[in-house]
Amino acid sequence: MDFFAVIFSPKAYYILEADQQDFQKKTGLDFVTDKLETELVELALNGSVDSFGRLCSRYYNSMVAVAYSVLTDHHLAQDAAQETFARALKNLEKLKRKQSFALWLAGICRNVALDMAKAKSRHVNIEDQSQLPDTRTQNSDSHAVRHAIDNLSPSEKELIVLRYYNRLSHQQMSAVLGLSKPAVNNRLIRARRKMAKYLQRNGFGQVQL
Amino acid sequence: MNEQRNRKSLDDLISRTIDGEILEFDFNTWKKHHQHDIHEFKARTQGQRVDTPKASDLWRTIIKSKITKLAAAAVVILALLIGIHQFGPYIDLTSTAWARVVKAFNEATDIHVVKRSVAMEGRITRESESWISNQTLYRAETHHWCIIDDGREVLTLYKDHKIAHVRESRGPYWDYTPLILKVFRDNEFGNGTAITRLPQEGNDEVHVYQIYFGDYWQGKAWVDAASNLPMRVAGLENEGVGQGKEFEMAFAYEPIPDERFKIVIPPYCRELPRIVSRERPEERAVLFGTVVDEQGYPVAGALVRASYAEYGRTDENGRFALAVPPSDASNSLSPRDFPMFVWAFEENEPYRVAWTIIRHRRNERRLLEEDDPDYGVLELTERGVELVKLVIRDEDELNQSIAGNTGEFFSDLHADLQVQDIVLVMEQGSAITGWVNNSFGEPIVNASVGIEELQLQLGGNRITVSKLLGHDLKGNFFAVTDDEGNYSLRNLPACWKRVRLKAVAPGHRAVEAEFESDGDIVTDSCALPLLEGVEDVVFF
Repeated sequence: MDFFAVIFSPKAYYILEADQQDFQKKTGLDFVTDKLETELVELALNGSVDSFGRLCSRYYNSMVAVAYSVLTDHHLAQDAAQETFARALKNLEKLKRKQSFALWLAGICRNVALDMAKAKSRHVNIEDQSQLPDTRTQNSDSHAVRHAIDNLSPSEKELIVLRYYNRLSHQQMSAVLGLSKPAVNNRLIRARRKMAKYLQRNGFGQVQL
Repeated sequence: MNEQRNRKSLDDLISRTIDGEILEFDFNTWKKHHQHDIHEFKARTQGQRVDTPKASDLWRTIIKSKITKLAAAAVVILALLIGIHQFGPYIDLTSTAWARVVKAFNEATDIHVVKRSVAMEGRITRESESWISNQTLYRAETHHWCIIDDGREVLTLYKDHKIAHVRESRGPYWDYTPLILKVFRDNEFGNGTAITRLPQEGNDEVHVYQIYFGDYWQGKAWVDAASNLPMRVAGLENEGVGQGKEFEMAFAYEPIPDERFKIVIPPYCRELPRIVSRERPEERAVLFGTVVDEQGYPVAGALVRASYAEYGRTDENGRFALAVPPSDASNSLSPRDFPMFVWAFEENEPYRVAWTIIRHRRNERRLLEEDDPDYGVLELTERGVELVKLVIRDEDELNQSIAGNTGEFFSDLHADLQVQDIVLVMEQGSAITGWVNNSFGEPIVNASVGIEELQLQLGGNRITVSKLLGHDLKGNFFAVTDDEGNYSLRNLPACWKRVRLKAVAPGHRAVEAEFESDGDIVTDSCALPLLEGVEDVVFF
């Protein structure tokens, strides 16, 4: 059944309930108390620190992922996300479109992460330990995959990290990237293809494990 | 197919390489570390200036003073009060006018709604109408179906399939209320609903409201100022890839004759048996339905199977209930379990089968690009392995060509997701017969032949079903060769297009082969040559 048939049929009511349940299971958020984002932004702009905190909690994982795509270090990425919130709080008045808070936040986060990456390369001359693959996943496969990810453009890399680092939904991704869900989807498909091609070209054989 | 498998394993690879953990943001600790920023922020939003160099000292002094502590307590209490007030179910308090609209709408006895959906390129994709009278009589109609509830019974007419289905009434029309009408029927909606009046757009005669209904739709409502009744709603629905998105609804309040709610089954329609009870015969069951023949008589003793469900047999009334085997932590269905292929047959009727595909709106869809051989919208079952794959090129055509009635989704907060009232109608099926031989052309006895993958072609749309057998061999999509090496796979849907068979025999290497349908009911040219060699170990 497509959406239009559903919306006008008895099924709509029940599907809505099922959706709510599904939503709660996935996110742990309560449908009723999960306030509208623009409203939270509004409250934060009027000086509510708690509302700002709720917004931060909502996007913490997304921001860690955005930072990770630049820094490739779990701890630094978390630091970057926290710094992002501090900068966001300082510049909250500069937010122009209340509907695109996540997009704005992601922009700040990218800058913070890039600054941190620059600082890191300035101060550390020897090869940074954190740049090496994690010991827990250290094998030739993940090494190759990491190379394939590094081979992507920064925006594609970010897309892949957002999707796989902590399993963001397309909905969350489209908020953070300011793209429609189909666009996110298309770009993901393209990035995955590019990775598969790279892996195959570099002796990985058919990507089939 | 191959590419899909690649993507799956690539998914695995990437996840393993950059697996992060889901983190909990500790706002309180963050606040402690950024006290200065917060203080500055508060001062700024209150329009005060802070003496930055001394701020930290001053802060400590203020915090330590008794008055501050008392004030802080007061602030906490106030914040709590505000919090309780604000974090409850969200109702727009600025709009007492909206409460009047809700009241007027609920008090109106006759409401006639016309809804028109427009695709992005301006084509009208669907037109539908509904009538509500006295809060108990309801009728809704589109090109493809019609529902009439006269307060005692509900008649659903599936116009394309010429099927009539009568069930017990659902009572007041609330249950039918489409999502769009929900904002008019009550003011206790959660889901992040926001309604604001736009005074600059309206005038003395018409009030305009901006409505944001959670993730589902947003738009504007034009309300008659004198009667408080909505006249028009226009907006955008959020769901659906490449489908009609904009909609417009017009409301009229003229008296509706009771004739409109009369339940009459048109002569060209086949009436399905009435489902008498909604009892749950089995605790774990999640799929409920009935198997009927072309005349609408229940088929008793038919075997019913579905992806992820255990098989079941229909009772004397043709009813069945299928359970989901506990394959992972959750024992229930989720949107990712759909689309689901359900089929039923009688063992003594090789050329007859009843089947349907159940879809869930929340199942993730992927838009495939033009250079992809599966160009179109892709819908997949994604619970561990891919079982049913739907390549959709024409949504309307697909809805019309899926056999049977795909049932209704039920889920309350205490029960898991269920699909009820599936009606499987027996129809002409198809069969594949053939033989299995060795490299010398000699027949192989007791070879097992199973369907690995089945592809159905419904117009431009394609359905691929794999893993049809599950953990047991019930179902005729599996056969054992006889003394002459012949096998026969029966009860296939007539619209099958391609099939991948796998033959296994002791002392031989397993062989897989693909066959295409030539449109015949019986395809009997499917020879499977087995080569002698190392025996394959096959687990079913």
